Amino acid sequence: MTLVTVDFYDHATKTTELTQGYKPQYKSQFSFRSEMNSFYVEYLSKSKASLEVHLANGSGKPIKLGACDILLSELVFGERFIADSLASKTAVIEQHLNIIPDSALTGSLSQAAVKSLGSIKIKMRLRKPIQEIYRFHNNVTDIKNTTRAAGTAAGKPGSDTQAKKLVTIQVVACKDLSVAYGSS
Amino acid sequence: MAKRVDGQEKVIKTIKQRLGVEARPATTGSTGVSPSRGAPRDDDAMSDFEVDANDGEGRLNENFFDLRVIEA
Repeated sequence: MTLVTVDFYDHATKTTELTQGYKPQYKSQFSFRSEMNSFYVEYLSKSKASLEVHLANGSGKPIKLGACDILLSELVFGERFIADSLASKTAVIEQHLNIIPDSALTGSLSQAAVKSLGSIKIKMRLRKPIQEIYRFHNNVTDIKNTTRAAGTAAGKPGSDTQAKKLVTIQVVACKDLSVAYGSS
Repeated sequence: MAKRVDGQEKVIKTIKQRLGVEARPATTGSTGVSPSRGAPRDDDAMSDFEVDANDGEGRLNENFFDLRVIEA
């Protein structure tokens, strides 16, 4: 009997149903609801969701068989839409993920000898398009960096050098102002 | 009455669900749910995903990452 755990963003770990057989049919769906803020967009564009396959052995602790990662940037940069009469919907992405065996399981065997325990078939999607929001967050970050750069001596954000100090002098009035012209 | 073919049924279900969702206020919080438990779910036409009837598309600033672990 095996099960798969799913770790995504700041959500608690989710698990599929316990499934029997050498070709287990998990057929489990998870929906992770999150606020689309800059952290979320950053996470999707740069991070991975991780899946772990565990073997449940009766009363004992489950044994981790292996793990695999889902590259989430595919959701952002590989965003496709499907024809829908009501609205633009994001297309479902199907992947076969290579299960890397756990080091404790392979024991003395080298990783090269046991490269894969097989694969997990998954389907994923974001319910709403993300690319526009990604571009918006990128633009905001660019503006912030440029603004910060203008305030540093080196002209780069995060520069160690001391920030430039800007002094504004406003001339209010002049009295008995005389300017010498030419060389009399 | 003759039963509609699956595809048509799915599309009609989705249209009904969407019309209902727009009028329904969104709930708060972010959770991951298993398909076999919880609130009633509808098939999402054009994909294999089931959508929780209470979720819809969430608030304006929310998104759902739907994941199906199918087989190994």
